[in-house]
Amino acid sequence: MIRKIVLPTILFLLAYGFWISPNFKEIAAGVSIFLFGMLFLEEGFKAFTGGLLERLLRKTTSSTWKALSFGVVSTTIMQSSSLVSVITISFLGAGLIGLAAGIGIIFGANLGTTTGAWLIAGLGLKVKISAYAMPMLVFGIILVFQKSRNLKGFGYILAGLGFLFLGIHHMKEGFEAFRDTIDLTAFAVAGYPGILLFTLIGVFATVVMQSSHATLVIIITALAAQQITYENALALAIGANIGTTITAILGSMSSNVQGKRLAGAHLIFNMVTAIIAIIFLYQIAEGVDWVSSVVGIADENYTLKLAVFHTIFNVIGILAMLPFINTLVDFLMQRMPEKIVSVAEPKYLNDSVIELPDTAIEAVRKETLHLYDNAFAIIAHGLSLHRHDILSDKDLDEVAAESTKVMPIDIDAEYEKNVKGLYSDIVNFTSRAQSTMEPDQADELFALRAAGRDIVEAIKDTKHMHKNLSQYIVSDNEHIRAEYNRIRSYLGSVLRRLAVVQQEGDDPTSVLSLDIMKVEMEENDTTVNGTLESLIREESITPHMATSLMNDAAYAYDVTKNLVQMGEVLFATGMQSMKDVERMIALDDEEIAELLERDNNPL
Amino acid sequence: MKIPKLLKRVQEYVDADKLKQCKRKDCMKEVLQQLKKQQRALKGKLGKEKNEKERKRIQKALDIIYLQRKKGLKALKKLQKS
Repeated sequence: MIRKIVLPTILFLLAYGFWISPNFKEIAAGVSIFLFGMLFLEEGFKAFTGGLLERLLRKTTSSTWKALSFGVVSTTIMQSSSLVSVITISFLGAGLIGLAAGIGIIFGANLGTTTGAWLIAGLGLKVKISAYAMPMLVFGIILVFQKSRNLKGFGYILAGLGFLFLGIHHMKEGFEAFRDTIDLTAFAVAGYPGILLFTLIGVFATVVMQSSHATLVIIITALAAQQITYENALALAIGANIGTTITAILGSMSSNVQGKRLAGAHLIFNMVTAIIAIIFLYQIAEGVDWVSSVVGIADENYTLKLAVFHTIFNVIGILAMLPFINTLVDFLMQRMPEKIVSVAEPKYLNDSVIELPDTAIEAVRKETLHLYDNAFAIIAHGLSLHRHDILSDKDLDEVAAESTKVMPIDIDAEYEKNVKGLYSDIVNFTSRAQSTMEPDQADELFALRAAGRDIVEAIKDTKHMHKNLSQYIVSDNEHIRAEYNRIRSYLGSVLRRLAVVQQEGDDPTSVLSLDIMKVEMEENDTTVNGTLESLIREESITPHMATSLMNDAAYAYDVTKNLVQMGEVLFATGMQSMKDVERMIALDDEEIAELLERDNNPL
Repeated sequence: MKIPKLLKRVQEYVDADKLKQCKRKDCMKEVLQQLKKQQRALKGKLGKEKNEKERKRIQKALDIIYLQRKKGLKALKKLQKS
């Protein structure tokens, strides 16, 4: 109900304002152009998120200081703490960084965003900024129409900056003209009631515009035109800091609990900082005067002093909160517990990652690994082997020979319960995500989807084998028992090797070691067929057993082939170029056949 | 950095295909280096190994790495030419 009323009310008030005051119209147009510039800027930086930003983010997980510095630097460059926080939330949602690192980045982003105030106050108001805006817009728009993704990205950034400058120019002009007709300082409220009132106005303005930058520009330009008092400007800046968390909260709505925790941390940080700033406002203002005199800012230069204030109160917030970062993590974990999801529910796929192609790919990879984890349990139990035995150092031949008890498992039911739904979610997500992707990225997504299909195929092959296997591993005929135990031990070793390769994910050659499994798979197949012949000849097994063994050896071959194919895609991590190279070098079926031929017929 | 070199860098950066080729070239070199290291280590291991079954396994791994390196070197030459 409230939502339905708010928008028409805002539109009506704006329209009324435009009607009675052309200056207000100019200020509002300036804000709109500024926000449009922010959109362009975000669009431009998104073009570069296909690698650089994500790689950098990945490296900031190691320490809080690194995360903090990353937040400061990236927000300073991009001039948008909202974009940094939305990307951080999506990374957290996709499980690429931890909560503590995410909080570090958000703290840093809060400090980074203060550079905006410096730019506007120091540069924006002194230089005739519109003179720069025009050429930027022209060059930017020309570049936006270029084919190259990078040029297009540059174009968006340049045009975005142009619009920002143009917006500031119009706001400045509007406020200056305003000064001649109305004196807004008449509405100034002194003392703490004024501080609280203007803080609330700052929160409201930032929530409406969803940009603390835009609020700050308005504050600074209004302050420069002496339309608000310095004290009220400080309160507005505090309000803008609280209001900016709204973007993070909105961004986290579509994220999982990790994203929500980060948005919670953002809100707590900004609230605590704001409370400290409000309580000690006069002391901080004195501190600002002292810093200003040290760095040589004139007493009357309130715009630069506001920038100093903005930086100081965010630094105070960081200093106050940094020692409690782990407490904050614990608190958020406790207050927002991870919903205990069934193993069949997706953990990493959520709408907050869908717009960042590389992050979406990583989320699909992680989810497919999750699918493989579920499949691993089904395949292992289908072979009547315990997962812990497979993942241990035990001799698998001995394990298979000793574990003669058939594990009760309904593979169909397990598949329906733990695999099918998850697989459908992955397929659905990849179909939606690929629409925003470059051809290369879409190819990678297809490869991952194919890996999911390989996993499902491997389960189905295990199911086909299961009936005979359960019957023959407890058979009185020791020959058929030994053959089926050999299949179990072999497939167990395949799962074990895959687990090793999965763990060595960072080593680019680990995926290439799967080629050894391809060779062994072929050797194993011919060996089984050779053994089979002699078992039939010597009448050690019945013809019925022989056909079962023949079919199941083929199923075992298929399980291995599907799992190795899956491993080649799923266990390859790192840059796309590295994955491409690994796939270029990996031996194909023909090369494996040649190698086997050479081994069988040495010169 | 001299101007022609700088221009070449910019051109590479702007041309997405070229940039991709460059990255692949670097990655290929890295993988080939790693494979060479593995090859050396396995050769050393083969020299010391007495168990016939284990020797066969190491030899097989060496054969595979040999083929992978051969394939990789051929691909690297192609990447360098393009």
